[in-house]
Amino acid sequence: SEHQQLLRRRFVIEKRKEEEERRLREKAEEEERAAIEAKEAAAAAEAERLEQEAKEREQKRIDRERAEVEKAEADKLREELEARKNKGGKGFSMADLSKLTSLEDRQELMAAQKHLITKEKEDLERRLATAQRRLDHFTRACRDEERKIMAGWVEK
Amino acid sequence: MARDEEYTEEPVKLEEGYDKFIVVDGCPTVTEEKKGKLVDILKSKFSRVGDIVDLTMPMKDKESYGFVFIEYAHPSMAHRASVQLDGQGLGKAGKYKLRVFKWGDFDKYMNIPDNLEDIPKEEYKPIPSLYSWLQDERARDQFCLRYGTQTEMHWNDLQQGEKSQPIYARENWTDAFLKWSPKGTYLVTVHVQGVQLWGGENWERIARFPCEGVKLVYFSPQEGYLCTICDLPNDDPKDPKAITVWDVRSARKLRSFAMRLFQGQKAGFHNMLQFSPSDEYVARWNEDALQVYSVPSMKLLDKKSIKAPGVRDFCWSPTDNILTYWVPEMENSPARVTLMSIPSREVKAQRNLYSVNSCRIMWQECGTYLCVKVDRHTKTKKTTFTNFELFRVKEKMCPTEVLEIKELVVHFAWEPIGHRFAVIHGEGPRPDISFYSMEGDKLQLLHKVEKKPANNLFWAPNGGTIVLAGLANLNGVLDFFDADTMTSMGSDEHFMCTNVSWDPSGRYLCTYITAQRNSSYDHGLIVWSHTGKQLYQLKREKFFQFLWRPRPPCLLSAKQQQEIKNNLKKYSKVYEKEDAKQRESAAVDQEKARTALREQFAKWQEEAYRTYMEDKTK
Amino acid sequence: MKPILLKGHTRAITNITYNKDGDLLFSTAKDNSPCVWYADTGERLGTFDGHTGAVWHCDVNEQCTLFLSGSADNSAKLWEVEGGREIATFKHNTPVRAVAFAMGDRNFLTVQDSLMGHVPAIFVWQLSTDPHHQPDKPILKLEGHASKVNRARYGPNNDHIYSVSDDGTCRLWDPETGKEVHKIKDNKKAVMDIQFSKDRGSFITCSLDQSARLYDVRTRKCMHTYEVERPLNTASISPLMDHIAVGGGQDAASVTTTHGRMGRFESTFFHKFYEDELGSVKGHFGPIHSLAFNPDGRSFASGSEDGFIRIHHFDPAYFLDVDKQVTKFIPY
Repeated sequence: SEHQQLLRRRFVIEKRKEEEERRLREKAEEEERAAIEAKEAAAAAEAERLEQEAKEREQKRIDRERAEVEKAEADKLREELEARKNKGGKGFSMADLSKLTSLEDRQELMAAQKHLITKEKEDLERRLATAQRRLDHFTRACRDEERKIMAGWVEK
Repeated sequence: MARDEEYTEEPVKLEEGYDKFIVVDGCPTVTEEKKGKLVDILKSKFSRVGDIVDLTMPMKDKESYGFVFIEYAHPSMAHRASVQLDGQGLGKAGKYKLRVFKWGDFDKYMNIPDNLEDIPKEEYKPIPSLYSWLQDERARDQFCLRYGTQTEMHWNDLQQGEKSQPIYARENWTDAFLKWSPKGTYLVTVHVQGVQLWGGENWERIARFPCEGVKLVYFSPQEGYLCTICDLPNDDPKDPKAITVWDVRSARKLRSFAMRLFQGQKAGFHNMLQFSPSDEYVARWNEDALQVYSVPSMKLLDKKSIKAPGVRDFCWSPTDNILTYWVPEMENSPARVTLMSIPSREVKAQRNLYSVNSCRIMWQECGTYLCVKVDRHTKTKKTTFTNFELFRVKEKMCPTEVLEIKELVVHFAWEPIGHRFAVIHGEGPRPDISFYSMEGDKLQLLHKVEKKPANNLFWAPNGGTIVLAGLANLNGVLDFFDADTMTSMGSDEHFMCTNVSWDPSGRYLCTYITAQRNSSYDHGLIVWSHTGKQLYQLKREKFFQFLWRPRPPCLLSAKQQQEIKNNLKKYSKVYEKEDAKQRESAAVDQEKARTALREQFAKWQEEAYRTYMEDKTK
Repeated sequence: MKPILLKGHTRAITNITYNKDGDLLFSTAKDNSPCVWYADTGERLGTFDGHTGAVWHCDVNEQCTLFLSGSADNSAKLWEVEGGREIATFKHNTPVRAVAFAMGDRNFLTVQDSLMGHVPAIFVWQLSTDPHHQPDKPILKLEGHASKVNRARYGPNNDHIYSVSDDGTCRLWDPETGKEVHKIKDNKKAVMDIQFSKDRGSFITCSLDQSARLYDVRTRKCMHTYEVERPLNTASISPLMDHIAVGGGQDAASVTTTHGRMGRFESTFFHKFYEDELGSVKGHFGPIHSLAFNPDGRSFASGSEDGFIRIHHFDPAYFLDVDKQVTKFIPY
């Protein structure tokens, strides 16, 4: 019947309306979620960026400090080497030293220092050996000369 | 411990009547006028062993026979005379040799028929070659070491090093300790019955000094006299034996003193008698005075003592007849250090000191400087501090200076030849060491070594080098320090070493561990070069004593020595050649020995292999 | 020369021994479990569990199939090397101080301590061909030493049994009759160890009197003496170089009061016939009780009171003189 048809139509319309409402609601929800997600993503990206920046800053700081320390060490080494040079140890070649003052690299400076220390040590050892030999020879010479006049002394 | 049989005397067999008599032969023959003088001399000589009852000198034709009869109060005296005085010299340079016989023995000798052919002739004994060790061609030094019951004499020979063989060794040589005379001529051994001197190439016995309970022996600086200090709880004050001065060459007793312990004197046996540097005097410590005797007469100088109430310590300058002593504070008078010239008794210098706890008198070896270390307390008596009173003895008026050290003073040492001294000061295991110089008119701080683990200082005998040593609780660390450049030549350690000793030449240093102080470590010694290089070591169980043999002072003048220094190159050439030759021949010898061992072993192996194969095929 | 440190024992090491190939190292300790290790890497291969007391000594047969151990639990035990299974237990009246296989695996010996009224004795046992049916009684008992026997070994070709003792002697016995054949009395104090050279032409003994001695097997005469400043517990002859090694140290009682470095717990090398001291290898902090060269002569091992075994492979520099060697191998 017509009434029944009307009722069905109304039902269908009602159904469509519901459907439409549901769709709209879902869309809104979807949009909201997307918005939140986007926000979260943006926040995460920002945090990451900040972190990265902090890391970089820290790294830079470390690098700077290390550079400073290295520079300080290098300066100290250089000063030491200068001092050694000024002391004028016999075992150094002047060419080595003039090269050293222009050196910036810590590694090379350290190598140079090691070289100098070894040289100094060898130099000291040589000097001590000479001192020992000199004293021995002097003692022997004295005793040899003494022996020549000892007979007279014993008589006395 | 009658181990040394040479000391066990035969029991005296008393013969009836005449056992108190002796016959002294070998006296000069004198005329009637000079008889009295000779009798006096002989009486004084022979009364040393006992009281003389009578001395008869028979005369014939107004001239003496050359012998006398002496009657003693007791037979033991006669016996002593025959033992102690037989063979002694009389007159200038001992021109007359006295022979002393007991009456009974004299009879025995007289009864020997004249025609007997083989009368034992007196063995000719050459004077021992006392100085042969100074003639070593390689200018080496000697040392002796005592371990267990063994005594060994060694050359300090670097080529032998650890394989060093003793040049002389003897078991049970001494019952207590060994000691060298100051110039190294004699070695002293100490026994229950007395002390003995040894020397010469073959270590013959040179003299015996019978005295019981010897605790301390020391020589006069020129080796002419010997002083023994004995521990005799029941010493007879009328006939004391505790402290005795002996004449070394004749082995005669010059005089004995009783041991008197008085207030202020530390326990133990001190050098209660001290000889002047040239053997002219000996000073004796008494409670309120010092007594100076001339040696060998042993007569009190000017017949009076030097008043020094409560005198606590005294010593002679090492080079001059200057007596140094200090007396503590008493009632209203301050403590006082005095330097007195002998025999004039003129006071060279004197310092009054206040708030004194104790003093130590330390002479520099050349007698140029004197340091008196004065430990003083503050007014409250709560804390102590140290002053060094420094005297320039050889300068006019003997100027003095004071060095005050606020910290604890651990050690002080003069450079033996030179003008410097070093002081360790500060608390804890790492104190500081300061070097000062007396050169010029003002004391001068030269250098300070900071925070050094050291508690002892050992200057080389000729100066220049000093070893900063941390012994005992510092584990035996050693720093060989060059005081001319104020730099360390090297440091090392001889773990737990107890002693450090320089050889007389200053070329070598010996560090050692003895059994007395340390029972659980490696006993033995290490010899180092003066620059701190370890050369060799010797190990000995139950190691007791190590002694470098001292040498007489160098016979060369400073000028001669300088000349040698100037021409050292010339000498060096010769020595280098000698050393190279030595090394070469040593290497050749070693290779020879090794080749022999190698061949011997190869031969053995071959043979072993052969028999093995034979066995196998069987 | 970087050492390999073998950690596995919990108490003092008493003995170490290599197998003939030198790839395995066997060790006993005062803990109850002998161990076997790869000699090259120091990796532990396994343990022999079963003793209930300190294990004093061990030996391994030539084929490296059987392992023998002697313990303070009054027993000696026979084990399979592979798998570490216990095969047999040989009961004694007192602790078993030493064990040794005879060449050819027909016999072995055990040494029992002198305790509780038992005289020190060496027992000879017959090894059964069926490993799981071993005798319960020895075939011979060797008596004569005045005090504790420290080591006993078979000499070349099983001609004699050699034993060393606290009485300061080394004695040779006839392994057939059990009679004492010869006595060497060169030491003032206890003889602690005896080891043969690889060629079995010589043997070395060492003593608490601070000396080690090298003997000619044929003449039984001392050829060389090596002296140190500490009591010796062990000595070994290098199979490759003209060297011998000794180890020891102040005994535990006197060491506790002294500084570690003063105990001189080092292996010291001597030239075999120059008798020169060549050098020392330090590292242990207790007396060394056992030393052994690897049969290839390229490494050696030491076991100490401190509970560690150290294997040292020699530096190439050590072999520089190898072409100048006098010692030659005599294959046996």
